[in-house]
Amino acid sequence: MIPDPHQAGSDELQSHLEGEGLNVRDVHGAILREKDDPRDGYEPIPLWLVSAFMALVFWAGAYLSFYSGGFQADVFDPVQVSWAGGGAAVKGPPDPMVVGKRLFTANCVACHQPTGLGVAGQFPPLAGSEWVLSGDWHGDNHLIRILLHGLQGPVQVKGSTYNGAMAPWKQLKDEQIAMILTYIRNEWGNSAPPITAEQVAKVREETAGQTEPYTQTQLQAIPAIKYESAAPPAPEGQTAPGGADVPPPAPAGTPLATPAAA
Amino acid sequence: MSAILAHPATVTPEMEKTRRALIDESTRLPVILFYGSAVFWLLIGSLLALLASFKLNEPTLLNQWGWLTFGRVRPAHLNAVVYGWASAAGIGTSLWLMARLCRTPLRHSKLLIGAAIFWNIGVLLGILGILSGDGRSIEWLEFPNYASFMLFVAFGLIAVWAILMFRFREPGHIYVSQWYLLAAFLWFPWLYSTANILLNFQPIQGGGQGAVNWWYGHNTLGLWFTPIGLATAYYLIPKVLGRPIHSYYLSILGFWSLALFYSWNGMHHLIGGPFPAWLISASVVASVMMFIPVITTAINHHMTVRGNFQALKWSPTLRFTVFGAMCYTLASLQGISMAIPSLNVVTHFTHYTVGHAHLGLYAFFTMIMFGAMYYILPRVVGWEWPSARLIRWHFWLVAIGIGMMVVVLTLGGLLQGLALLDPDITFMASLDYTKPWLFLRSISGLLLTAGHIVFAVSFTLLLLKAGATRSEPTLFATDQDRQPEPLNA
Repeated sequence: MIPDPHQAGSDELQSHLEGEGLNVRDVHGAILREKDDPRDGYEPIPLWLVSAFMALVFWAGAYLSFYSGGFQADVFDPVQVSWAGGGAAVKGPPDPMVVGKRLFTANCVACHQPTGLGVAGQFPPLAGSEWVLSGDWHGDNHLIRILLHGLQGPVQVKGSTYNGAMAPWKQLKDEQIAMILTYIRNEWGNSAPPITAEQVAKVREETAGQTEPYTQTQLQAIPAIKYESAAPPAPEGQTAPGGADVPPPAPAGTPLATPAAA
Repeated sequence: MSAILAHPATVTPEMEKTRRALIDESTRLPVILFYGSAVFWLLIGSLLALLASFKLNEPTLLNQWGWLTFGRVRPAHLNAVVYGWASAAGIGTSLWLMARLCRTPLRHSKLLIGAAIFWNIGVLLGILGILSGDGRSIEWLEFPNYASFMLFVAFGLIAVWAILMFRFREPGHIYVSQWYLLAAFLWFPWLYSTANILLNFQPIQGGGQGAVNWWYGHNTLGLWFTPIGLATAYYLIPKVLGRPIHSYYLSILGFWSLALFYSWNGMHHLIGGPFPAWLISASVVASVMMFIPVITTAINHHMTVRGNFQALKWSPTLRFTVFGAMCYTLASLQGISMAIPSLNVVTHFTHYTVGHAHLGLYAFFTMIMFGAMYYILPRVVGWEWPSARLIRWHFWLVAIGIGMMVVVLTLGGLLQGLALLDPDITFMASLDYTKPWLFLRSISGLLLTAGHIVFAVSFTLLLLKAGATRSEPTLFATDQDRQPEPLNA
């Protein structure tokens, strides 16, 4: 059924050429004045171009050997595993002051402000705050608890009373919380040992049953722990007497200070 | 008698001209259908673009109607110009080029008319779907399934037609434009159907969606618009000048290196994203390797025009086409630079990328399509363009408009990117840097839209065969005696 590929078009054209149809004089001017259909020239490819392309191919191989992550499906950082650099290219852990600042800018500045001074009468300051720097009765474990589960009701910071509500941030990862805390403890003139992801993980585990934001009263009832520098979480024996094993809900005897709505 | 036609030496110039006339006549209805719908969607797309752009200047503008919120208007604009305008214009141009290059009158035009109908229904349903809230949150594939299915049917019909045309061509040398067209007609239905199945009909899980999304998004430019745009430039530049294309060898190198490297490029949209490092790095490498097809094609086109640049003063076809071909080189080199991770860090997620997209899809592809329409339509309709003044206005409005848009989005995007990288600048503050540039962008959008309206008027007048009967071309300037040699378009 398929007609001869060259026949059909030719016949039609032929019938016209034999004078039955279009006369060339009737053809539109645009077609009459047209130049020949495009044809190919055969200039050689210049040598410099071939050389440049070869150099590119060489670069491509080198780039892939440096940044392909060894062609492993589970390597996401191009410089982590490299065929050329071996282990030398492995990056150190991320700097908490950089990542922490980014996370702080994204999540915390709205209330605590870029200056870390908060807003008078509304949001407590972080700069010089005894809550952040573990002064008085405040422990590092309290700081982690607040970030994980939030805080509500009246609180005293640097001699002023604030009555607001801080949202829980337990949706953040342990590393992220650790970096934010390390950052706020070392910015705006603050200086305190870093908080590690392990410490956050431990507190998160201990407080798994906490569903409500803490109040200052509840926190005061939990003995303070002050971690030593960047050491891993304090061994079990060192936790304060009766300390961190206490389940998170407020001890039975503590009167639940009814949080005033913010 | 077919033996005579098989021997070009026996085909007289008279016969050749008759053949061309027959070919052009056979393409009339499909080409006008696709071109007409393209111009219609260009106007719709321009209005949607203006609205989206104004909303960035004045966010509360018309936001009381869900249909006209930014989140719907912007994808509606994108899809109207990508599928409604650019694809339809590309198909219209390709139909004519295929027939000319196969040296045989267009056959099976019912396939094409069917495709045009499916196409327009698909685009209409798609735009209405997006505006009414049915759109998908996948960039470049926002059309709801009922619309993308229509487009796929249209693509399928066109692909079948292209294969039949090629099968029944007059024997002889296959010119470079033909390679690109045939490749585009086979690549795109495959791309479109694969991406739609993997993302909309049977969605795959997880990060793979992002990878498929950008494999598709980038390849729409690389394996659909770029081949059609280049095929057109490869045909029109030597045709108008009456010179051979500089080098067949460069044509081959350009075509195969494009085919080899372009399809890997999409992952450079995901630099810094949660994807295996090799995937991104392979894409960065493939993007940089695009130097090969781009430089090759640029040399080939430039050397063909060399010595004849003064022809740009007269020929609308050539001026639009060469403008587009030059912007192809520019857009590609810019794209390569944006794939380099250290620069991508700044430009990613900024208006810089938007500027780049317009440089590619407008300054390159759309300008070449305008050039093609200026060449093809007088032949298909049998009427010269009624007014050189309208063509002049069209050229300067869109050339200045797109130039301005690319420059302001590029500068504004760079400032925005640097602000986003600065941890001391909040996200909201980083937006302030873009405001004056986005205002200028709206101005450039007005220029473009004005140019499109001028073109639509010119197009309509041509279809109505307005003005006096003429047989000489409508050129920018009338002092033909000063031309180096007579121009045919």
